[in-house]
Amino acid sequence: MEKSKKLSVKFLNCKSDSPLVLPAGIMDVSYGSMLFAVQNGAGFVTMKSCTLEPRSGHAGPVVCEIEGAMINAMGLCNPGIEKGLEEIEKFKKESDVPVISSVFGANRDEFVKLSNYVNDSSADYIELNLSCPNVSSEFGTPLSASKEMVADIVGAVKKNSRLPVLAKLSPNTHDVTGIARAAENAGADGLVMINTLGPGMVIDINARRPVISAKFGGISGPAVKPVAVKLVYQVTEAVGIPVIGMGGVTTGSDAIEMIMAGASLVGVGTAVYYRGIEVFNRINSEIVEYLDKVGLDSVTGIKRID
Amino acid sequence: MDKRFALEIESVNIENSGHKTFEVKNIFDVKPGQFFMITDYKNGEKPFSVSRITKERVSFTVKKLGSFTSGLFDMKPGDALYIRGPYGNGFDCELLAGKKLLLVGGGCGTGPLRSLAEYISGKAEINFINGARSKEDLLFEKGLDANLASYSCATDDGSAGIKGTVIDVCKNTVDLKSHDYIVTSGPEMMLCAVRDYLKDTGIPAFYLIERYMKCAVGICGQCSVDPLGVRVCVEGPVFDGDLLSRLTEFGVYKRDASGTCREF
Repeated sequence: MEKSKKLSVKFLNCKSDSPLVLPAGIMDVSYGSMLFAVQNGAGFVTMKSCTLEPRSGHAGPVVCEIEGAMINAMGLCNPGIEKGLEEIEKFKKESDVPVISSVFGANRDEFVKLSNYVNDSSADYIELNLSCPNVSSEFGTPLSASKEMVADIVGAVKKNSRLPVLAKLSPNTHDVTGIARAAENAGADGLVMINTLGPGMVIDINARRPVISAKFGGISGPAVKPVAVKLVYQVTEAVGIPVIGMGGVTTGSDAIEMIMAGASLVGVGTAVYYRGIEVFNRINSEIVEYLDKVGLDSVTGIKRID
Repeated sequence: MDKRFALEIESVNIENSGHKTFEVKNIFDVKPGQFFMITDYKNGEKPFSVSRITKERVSFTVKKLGSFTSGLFDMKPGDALYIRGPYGNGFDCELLAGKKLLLVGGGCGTGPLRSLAEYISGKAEINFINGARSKEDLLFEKGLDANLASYSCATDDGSAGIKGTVIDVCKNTVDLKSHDYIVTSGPEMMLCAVRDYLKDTGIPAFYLIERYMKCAVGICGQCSVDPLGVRVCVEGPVFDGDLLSRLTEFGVYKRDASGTCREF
């Protein structure tokens, strides 16, 4: 589908024809799934967070639908960084859409190793997943709960990185702004936020068991949007680096709201469940409708509110 | 919104040494070719196609494979089944009604074809080919509650029907080209053989395919098929031959739980 020129954006080193991002964890296990999102209007794609070794993830159930939200704990399933980057190479043969390669390490050394792999690939950005909420029994509290850890990891990765480095932050800490500042001061080129909220828990009252096999799962979907909007607003007040805003964005007005909170690009994830894979094209059109209505000729003309 | 149910097992039917059919109350808007996710909250959660749909009941025919299905095999009438669904596109029953159909099933894949045959029984001319390793593995020999124009079977060892494959039965079907649609479900290598056999005939076909599934609601991408990325849980599990021919992954590899490609 031909996109309106009004949707063209530039984010750090890359241009694209839509500000909508396929975030890590959604439709991104394979090059085919990422191409499917692009065909349906995504302007940027993120490959599933990769670890050094392959991971099968948690046993099912891994998702649970609730009113206004989704809870999930996939358990960082991924084919490992080497196979993951092969998917990105295959994707790049078919598409010039910018790719964010997301990585998850247990510590600084792993993040550095992973980032070295990404630097040798045709990915366009490195995303440091410092905030997966669903593997804490294995890896402890998500790293982005600590300013020192975030600064340490971002700084170490940044030292050797040819590619822009994005830090993916958790909403599940009392000082997100402080963490964001720590990432910026350590050299992060941008931020991605928010990772899923919580985690939360759902109990099957018939089975008397937690629905999610990992017991707890990160919350996404429309219910988390006000938290995401608030945190993006606060963080963009505190830092100068651009932010990819995400969390519950389901419609064009949600995306515009996220941009008005300060986001440069907008992630669309769980909305794929609510509005189908076509959600990217639909939100693109809804943004253009809004731009026409208010007389703007570019999505970049939507400014952050005070 | 919350499509998760606890349903009592109404009946358990032993099909043969390796297969059982479980029936639960039909509280769903479900059609043949769709599937449900079933969990025991112990051994994971797996997708199961419906093998029979009546006004009162929905059936799942299960092959004993690993820890999950072994646990399921121990379940009795009255036990609770924790299920969510239905998911997937299912067969286009409106399109198939009034047509001359050849249903080609193999192994456990015969389940969804039984539900289709029974669902459109009397509304279409249905020819049914059933394949299995041996007579002992053959499903629904006596369990098809449908008006069939013909029924034939093939077993690898010749213990039931002809000795050979479902393709051998197709080859012996003199009027193959008179069929409006072929609908097939079974092991991927069998589906490939059907696809290759049909290549030059121009007969349109529908294929029910399987991939490792996690979320089943179209967000995780685990069951996306390369290079189009179509999801078995949303755009599938039933794909038409034209689309299938563009899925270069089909018959070559599938992804395991980590997303790593595993060749057949």
